[in-house]
Amino acid sequence: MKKQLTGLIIIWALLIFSLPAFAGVALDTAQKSVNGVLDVLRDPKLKPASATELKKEKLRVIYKNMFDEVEFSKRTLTRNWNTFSPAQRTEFVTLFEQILENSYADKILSYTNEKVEFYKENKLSDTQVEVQSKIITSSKEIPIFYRMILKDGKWKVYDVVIENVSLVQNYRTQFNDILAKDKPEKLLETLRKKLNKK
Amino acid sequence: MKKKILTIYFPVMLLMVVSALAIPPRADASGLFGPLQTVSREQGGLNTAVGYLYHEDTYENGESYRVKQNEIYSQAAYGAKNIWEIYGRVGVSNMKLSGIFASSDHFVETSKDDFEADWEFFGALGAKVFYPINAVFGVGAFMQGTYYFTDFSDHASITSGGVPIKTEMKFENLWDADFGIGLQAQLPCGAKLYAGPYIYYSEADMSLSSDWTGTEYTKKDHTVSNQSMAGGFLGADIPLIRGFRLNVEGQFADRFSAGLAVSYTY
Amino acid sequence: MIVCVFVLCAQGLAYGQETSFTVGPQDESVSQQIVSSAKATPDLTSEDQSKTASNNPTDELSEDYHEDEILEEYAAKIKEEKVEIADPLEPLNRVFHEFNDKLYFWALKPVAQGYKAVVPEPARVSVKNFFSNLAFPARFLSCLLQADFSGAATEAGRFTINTLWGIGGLMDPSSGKELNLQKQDTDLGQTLGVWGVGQGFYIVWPVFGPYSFRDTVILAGDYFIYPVSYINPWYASWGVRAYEEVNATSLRIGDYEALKDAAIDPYVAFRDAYAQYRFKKIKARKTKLTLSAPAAQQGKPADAELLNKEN
Repeated sequence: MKKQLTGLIIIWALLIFSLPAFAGVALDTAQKSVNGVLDVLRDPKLKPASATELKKEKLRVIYKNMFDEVEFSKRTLTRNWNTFSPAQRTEFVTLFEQILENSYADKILSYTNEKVEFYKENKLSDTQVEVQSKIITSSKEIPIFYRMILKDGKWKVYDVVIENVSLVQNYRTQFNDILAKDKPEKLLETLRKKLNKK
Repeated sequence: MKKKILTIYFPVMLLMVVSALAIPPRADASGLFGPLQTVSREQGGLNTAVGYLYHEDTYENGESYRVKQNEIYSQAAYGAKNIWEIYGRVGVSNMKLSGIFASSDHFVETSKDDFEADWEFFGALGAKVFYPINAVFGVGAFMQGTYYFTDFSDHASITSGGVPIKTEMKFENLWDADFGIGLQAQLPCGAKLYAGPYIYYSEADMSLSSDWTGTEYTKKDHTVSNQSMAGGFLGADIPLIRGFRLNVEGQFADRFSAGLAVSYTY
Repeated sequence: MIVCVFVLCAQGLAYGQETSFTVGPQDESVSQQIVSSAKATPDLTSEDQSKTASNNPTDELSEDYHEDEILEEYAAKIKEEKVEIADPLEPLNRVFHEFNDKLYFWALKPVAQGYKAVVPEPARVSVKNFFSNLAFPARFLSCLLQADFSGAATEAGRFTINTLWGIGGLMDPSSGKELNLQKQDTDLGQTLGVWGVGQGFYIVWPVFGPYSFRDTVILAGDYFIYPVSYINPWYASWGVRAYEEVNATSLRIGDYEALKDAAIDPYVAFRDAYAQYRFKKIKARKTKLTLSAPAAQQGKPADAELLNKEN
């Protein structure tokens, strides 16, 4: 009995001491990426309209590093992922990424010096954390949470929760609806059509 | 019949009008003057306050009549550099003139002696400047103007020879202007003590009207004003918690007025 | 139940996996039990290692998605994420959604844009503060009904300070760092949710927008405790509400368009966003109330009840 107790205490102590190694790293990673984005947005050299493409390219580099697009895409399809062929999966990830970029690029580019504050990190599991931040505009505060997963020693974002609404779940519901009635190819076609419309 | 009543009534009216003419209505000085130095932050900012002043004064025309007012107001101000401030106020005030309806004539009865009017709206604008001499003392000056948007009126029944006549007394277009200077001392705890003299001018249109058997008899309009009156003020402005400050002040003219206000600095 | 397990295993085998199985949509509660009973298996660590070892995206792409492992890692969290709202009126809702969409783009947005061009932002923010201050009774009452007395006190303090020292509510000094009396983001619909009433089904009302059945019922209550409703005559009251809406929209032009643009099926996107938003808020309220009153009600049973109702 005593041995077991000592064993437990040792394990517990190890856990306690190993926690700080991870605590804060995810938040730092997210913060660094977001600050990188803000730097690009605030750069006076990139202000003119002609520099928009260059700005987008710089941003693309940052968020390719920040997001784990495969993890993101997998979670929006959940079990439906298994009904896609590998080729379809590749196409899906690419199309989805492109749609997200097109939709949110303008919103991000319209940034005008709002303040971004990272204030908390919640542990969801051993390899997953939720980093909490908020954007402070002149009229309100918008909470933005990044859910990150530890892969190959790097923390990457697999879900963004804006004002309590998880992006992954939002798309999951939409995709589920479509895939409940149609085959994967139909979804890919819908995504292609949407991209072409822009 | 008509003639008889007229002859009885007329002297009464005259008496009242004459006494009314002598009134320097002190429907004035809307609220506290406030500390000579602005409470806004140095970089320039807003400050707001709510205040209450109990205002009392007298006027004379052979006899003393006392006017009492309760003033409640809300103020918004903008100041900067710990030097200047401009402010605007809106508030309500009532008015009571003691003994103004009373008549010394034995044959005349009045239903009541005092003029009492309910809450009427006023607005005020003001500005103040401050010059610090050293870390503790400084001198400042302010000016303030007030205007009443609505009129004070009250009526009484004057009975002469058994015939009651409803008479209404009204004060319209009340306005006043104040100007004062003073010395301010800042204590280590952050409280500011200030004192100084002030002068002011106040004016109103007074009218008296009455009707009996439905006919309006006399309506006399007079602009009444006082001569420049001077007085003194003394006050303290004490910081409370988290941006709030308490301001207490006394104003001395013929009579003593006092009030307090709570301000918030943005 | 054993039959379910067998079927699920068969499905898993069909995709050439070792010992894992995929989860069917209706069997969440069942899968929870399976997963929790299998918790002790060492299979998880080997799966985990293989996942973390793969640094090649193609490997990830060729891998099948193991939702069960995710479930195991944060069972409670994934349960929270499957927020759904029943939508039996979907065809009708879609029609009204289209109508509201057109109303926004043809009427509300142009007016809000014109208003925005004329009126500077600080003024519009002040107007928003003013109306927010007027809505104090709803928040105060909601706090009281949720037994959140500190919240009610905060709301009362906010109202007093903002009205007296905030120029009638136009300014909002209470929210500042110094005073730090934050707005209690709650309403009567949330109160019902905290009490355990489920959302019900989804309704899109023309003009008013999306509501759950529960929140629709409570709209009448909201009407009676909102001071603007008491303005006479009735068209003046609705005029003021319309102005409030125009002002609020002018501060968030672009939000609706962004979500609509990013969506594959805008109707579903908005429905899901609404359901998540309301559900998470109520959950947060419950957590807050449970933390401040540990002896009080448990949050969890209501969640399960909610999910069961909606599945």
